[in-house]
Amino acid sequence: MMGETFLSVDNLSLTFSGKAGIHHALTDVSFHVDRGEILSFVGESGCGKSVTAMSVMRLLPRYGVEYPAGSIVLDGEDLLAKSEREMRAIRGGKIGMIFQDPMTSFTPVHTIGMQIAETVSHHKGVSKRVAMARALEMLDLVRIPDAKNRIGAYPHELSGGMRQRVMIAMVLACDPELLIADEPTTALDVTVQAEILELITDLRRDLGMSVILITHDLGVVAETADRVMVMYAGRVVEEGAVAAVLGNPAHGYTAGLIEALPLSGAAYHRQPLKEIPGAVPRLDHLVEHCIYADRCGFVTSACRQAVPERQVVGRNHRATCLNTGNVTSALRDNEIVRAWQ
Amino acid sequence: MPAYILGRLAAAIPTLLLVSVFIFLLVHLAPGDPALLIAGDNASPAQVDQIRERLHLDQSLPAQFVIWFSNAIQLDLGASVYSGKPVTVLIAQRIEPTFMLAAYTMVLTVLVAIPLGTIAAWRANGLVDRTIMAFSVAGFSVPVFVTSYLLVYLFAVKLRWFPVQGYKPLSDGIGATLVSLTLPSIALMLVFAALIARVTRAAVLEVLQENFVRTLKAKGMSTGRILVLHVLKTAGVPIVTVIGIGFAALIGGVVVTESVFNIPGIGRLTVDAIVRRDYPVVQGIILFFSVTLILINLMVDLSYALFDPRVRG
Ligand SMILES: Nc1ncnc2c1ncn2[C@@H]1O[C@H](COP(=O)(O)OP(=O)(O)OP(=O)(O)O)[C@@H](O)[C@H]1O
Ligand SMILES: [Mg+2]
Repeated sequence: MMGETFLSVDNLSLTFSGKAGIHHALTDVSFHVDRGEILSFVGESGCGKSVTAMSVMRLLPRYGVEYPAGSIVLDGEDLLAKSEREMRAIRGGKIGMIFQDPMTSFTPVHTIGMQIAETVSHHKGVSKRVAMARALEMLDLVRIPDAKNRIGAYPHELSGGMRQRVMIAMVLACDPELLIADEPTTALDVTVQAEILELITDLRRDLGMSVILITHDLGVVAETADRVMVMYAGRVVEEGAVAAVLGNPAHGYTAGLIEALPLSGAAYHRQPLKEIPGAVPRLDHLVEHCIYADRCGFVTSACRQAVPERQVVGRNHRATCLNTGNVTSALRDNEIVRAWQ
Repeated sequence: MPAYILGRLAAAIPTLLLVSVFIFLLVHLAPGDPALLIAGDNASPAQVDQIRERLHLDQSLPAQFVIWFSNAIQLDLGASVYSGKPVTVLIAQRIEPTFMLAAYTMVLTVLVAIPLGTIAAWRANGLVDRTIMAFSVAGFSVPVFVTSYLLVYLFAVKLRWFPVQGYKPLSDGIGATLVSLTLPSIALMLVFAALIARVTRAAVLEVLQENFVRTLKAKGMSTGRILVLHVLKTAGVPIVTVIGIGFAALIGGVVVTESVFNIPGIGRLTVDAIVRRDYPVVQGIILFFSVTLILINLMVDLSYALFDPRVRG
């Protein structure tokens, strides 16, 4: 059913502990993915995008990882309560995941056909022959030319873009209801990037699955996603429909990301790229104020007194910020923001 | 693929030539007159001359090499100075126990070392890993004859599960052969397995860090399938390489083990020939071991193609 919530993560916190001490990788992360929609996670390196995705897959190491609070509910089932065995049926089954580096994401010593077919056999319990037929069908679906011959190819015999297509074919072969794509195009060159993103949006439309698209590129978000979740230092700072967030940015960090985007056309040459000053805070302890306060251009004394509550900014749009109005009006004249209003 | 095999085969030929020159020179350039040494202390000058002529020692070195080499490729390695029997016959008589000992050891080693090394890597730095690696250090540092005597004391003298020594030929049935070789094979295996387990651990650990392992987990594959079908196969090349290298060490171990367990193999023949200064036999054995090692290396090279499609080209 389109529009119904499929994945819901509520107040999730995650810590890594080891010799170096404790690391609060996620704090109070809440979001949901509806059936058939594309939700994008954005944020700079280390903000917790992959860790959030890996938590949904329950793929983080068993030792040193703790979830002090929160829940991950997929299709009515609590994933944090699942055994490893139960998760093995869900991974690659209900949830498929593709990763950044298609060059190294396949076993080098097996053919791509075998690698697709083994996934199909595992999840659908079909014979090798049926699984191979399915593999061929999937390679055709992701528009691999000459799929009949390519099915026996080894990963090193394919180009990067081709491999990412095969990866998508492999993951979609088991009809996942949710596809998690963790920076699927970062390692590819620009033209191939666009093709892969187009493939993902087309397949989402044809197959009706939900997608979580992880990227650090707001441009990709703008072109591909329905909703966007902006993360900073392990927290969700702003979340909403793409048009709402890009047209009315309400958090200082989102504003920073938008201002750091290269502009198109004439403005591109007029204005230098703005960088966000300062560095991401260390996460070895939880702070009792807004995590972005030290880098924020809109900071007030109230920001340093307590962790801000999540504010409803508009229909389908929330931000964890005390000064949402100031941020929105300050960016009113930004070219990108104007384009989305 | 056929090109790869032919290439490897062709590459083995110069190695073989070089080795034979080396072995030839080893004996002929050794200090002292071989004829005198062979004839012994009580020989008359006439007898020494006769020996010199029979062994072509009166001819130039290159001429001698040509004679020796053309004989060698016709499997004529001369005769034992001690018994007068042809060297090839002496070696052929002793091949069976040595081959059986090496093969049995190899099978035991692979069965023990590869699973242990893989488990150690999978549980890297955990208790299981530390235990396995501690045993592997022990296995590698204790000499073969010490473990041999300990094994004999425990399993032959005390428990009486296996014979103390001796060899039952295949003509007595393979079961009897294997029983007679179990203790020597275990003794040899302990050293060998320690090496292979460590290399397996390192190779598997490296492959486990690779991105494709994450992909496999994300596909819902079981740990066993990931380890055996994907990780071990990818790690196959370095592991097989070390098994091949380890074989050279195994040959040294075979000599000791055959003496301890009184097995009438090539190891024993070597010891006897050296003690008797039976140069043609020593030379023949060195050549035999060299050719064996070259063949094993060739098999290792060919097995690369089995593991890694990128090698096949
Ligand atoms: N296995 C782990 N053990 C300890 N810390 C980890 C582990 N995995 C991730 N982290 C830490 O968690 C934080 C979030 O990492 P994450 O990989 O989610 O970032 P990201 O947003 O995906 O960044 P990028 O854009 O670089 O992929 C980082 O500070 C990282 O160092
Ligand atoms: Mg990441």
